[in-house]
Amino acid sequence: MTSYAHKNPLGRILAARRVWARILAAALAILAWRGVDRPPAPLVVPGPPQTVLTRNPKLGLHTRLTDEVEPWKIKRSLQMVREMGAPWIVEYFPWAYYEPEKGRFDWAHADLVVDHAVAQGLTVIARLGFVPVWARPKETTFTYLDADGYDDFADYAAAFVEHFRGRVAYVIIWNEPNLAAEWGNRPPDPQAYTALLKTAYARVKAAAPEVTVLAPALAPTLAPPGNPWAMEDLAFLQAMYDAGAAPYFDALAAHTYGWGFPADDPPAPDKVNFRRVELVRALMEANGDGDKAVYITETGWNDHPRWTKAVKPAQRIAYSVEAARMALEDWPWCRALVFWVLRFPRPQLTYQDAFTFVTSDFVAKPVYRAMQEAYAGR
Amino acid sequence: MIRKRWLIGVGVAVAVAALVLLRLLGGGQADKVWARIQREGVLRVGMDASYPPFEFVDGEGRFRGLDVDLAQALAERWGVRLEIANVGFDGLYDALRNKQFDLIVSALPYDPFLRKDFAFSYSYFNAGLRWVARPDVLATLADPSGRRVAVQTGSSADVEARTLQRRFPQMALVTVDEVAQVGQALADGDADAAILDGVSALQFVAAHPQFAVGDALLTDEPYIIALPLDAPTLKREVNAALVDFRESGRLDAWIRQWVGRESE
Repeated sequence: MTSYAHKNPLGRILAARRVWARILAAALAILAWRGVDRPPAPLVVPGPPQTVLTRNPKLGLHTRLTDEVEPWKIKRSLQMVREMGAPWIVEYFPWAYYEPEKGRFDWAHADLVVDHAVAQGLTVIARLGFVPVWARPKETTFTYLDADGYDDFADYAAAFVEHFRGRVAYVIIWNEPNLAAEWGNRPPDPQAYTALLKTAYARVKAAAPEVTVLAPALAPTLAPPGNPWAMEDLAFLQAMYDAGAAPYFDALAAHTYGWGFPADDPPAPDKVNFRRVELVRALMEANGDGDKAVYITETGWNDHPRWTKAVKPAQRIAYSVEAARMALEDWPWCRALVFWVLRFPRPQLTYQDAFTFVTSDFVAKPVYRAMQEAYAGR
Repeated sequence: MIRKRWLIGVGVAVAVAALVLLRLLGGGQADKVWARIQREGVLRVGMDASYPPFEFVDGEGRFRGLDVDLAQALAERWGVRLEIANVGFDGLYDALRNKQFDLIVSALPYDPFLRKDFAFSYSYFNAGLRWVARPDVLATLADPSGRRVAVQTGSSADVEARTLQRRFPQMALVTVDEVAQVGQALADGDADAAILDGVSALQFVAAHPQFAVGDALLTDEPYIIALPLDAPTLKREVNAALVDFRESGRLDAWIRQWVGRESE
């Protein structure tokens, strides 16, 4: 590069100042990097292996540790799952976070979460999704993946199970594809989803045959036929079977929320309630898939004071305890009942906060204590 | 040469100062939202009208409540007509982002994490948790040891009370299923004090004047008006109106009318 600074006195002065400014900036950066003004970070290690003492081996909590950056909070979250007597967690492992470029994986944060979970004696169900920018067209959302990208997703899923072999034995392929928002803002397409499932299943099984592949939980919805934003869950599942999905999942994940109804409210095709999952189960049996288990990977009640689908806090407690009992005693086909959600890294300041069992600063809510009282211990 | 350089320096300094001044005054940025309100003569307000006493739809299909009066007063102050869009609470911010209305008046709690996306007015009400008790008991609640404290099971008051119990293990909890039963426990003498949200607390003492609401907030939940980030004139006008409404007593009158009584 040619420099013309010597021809201009102001340029010389400015150039000299720029040099000093750079030196100063570098010095400040070094000081900041050395953390002169910050206390040392706490040393957080997984610690000795723990055991979940529970009277309900199906009980679980969905964690949201994807965006939790502080290791002690990750550890504390998972300790609180164990202390509630819940042996299962579901956690989200976004593809875009862990494969920022095709073929380049960075598992550091995922390792942190999984290692702490395993140390607490928890069984991890990993939900895989969130399409990176490089795997989708411009101006699409992170839930958009067209057929050209199925192999890329399958590669990620295979890399995931390979990396976490011995630590994670359950993976869910995608999430609620019967909603347009979860399918790239396109009309839900059970045939296309089945094609994705087939591709991913083959690659996961080739990498780690012992891993249980879960077909995705569908969003419980009563959307009428032709609705561009959602497809009724039972119709979507039947369409998956019709598209030949059965050999390509080992078990089914399910979402079943109670909304405003008690846990024992009878199921009906025109109602979204906790026992709607029994209709899902019946559909599996009708399609000759009764030997497969169901893992309920999201459930629960909400006690927000102004959400239309909420219940009162005392009802939330009673329904949640009863739901866990029903899963344990009445549903032999159900392997896990995982409540949404343990906590968020920070308050959402929406109705979502009223799904949590623990506040962002780790205060156990009454529903947590009620579940702990009902199911923790031997 | 030196004089020329000096003049350039002064010019640059004046320009920078002008920019800073414009920025501080909120100018230098055309407020299209405010301009549209003035041009069309309509103030479009978003709210979730399912939260009495702040906003609800009465038996005749009319919007009523404290926030409705507040929005109406804003429109009248600016000489425009009020249009209310009834949107579910969780869709309010998205609708504002998509310019479906000009601002949100909906008992909206302040969310500091949204500051990069939206602007917020001064707070006009605080719904945070408060102590409620007889005045003589209220004066002693800095240390609630030995007191029986009523809360709604599972509510944020319950969580707060159990957090307090860590510091004051001698504080006893009286848990009931409904908010109304909390006040009843207090009125019946089954509890010495209660923890209630700001609205329930004021409503209770309005009906039971022998009790009082504590000045101190146990939790902070300020209600604000949310606006687009690129509407500095509108924000300035909203804040000026809130100051006037407070100083003139209109805001307290609305709170008295809809919540029962204003906070002491």
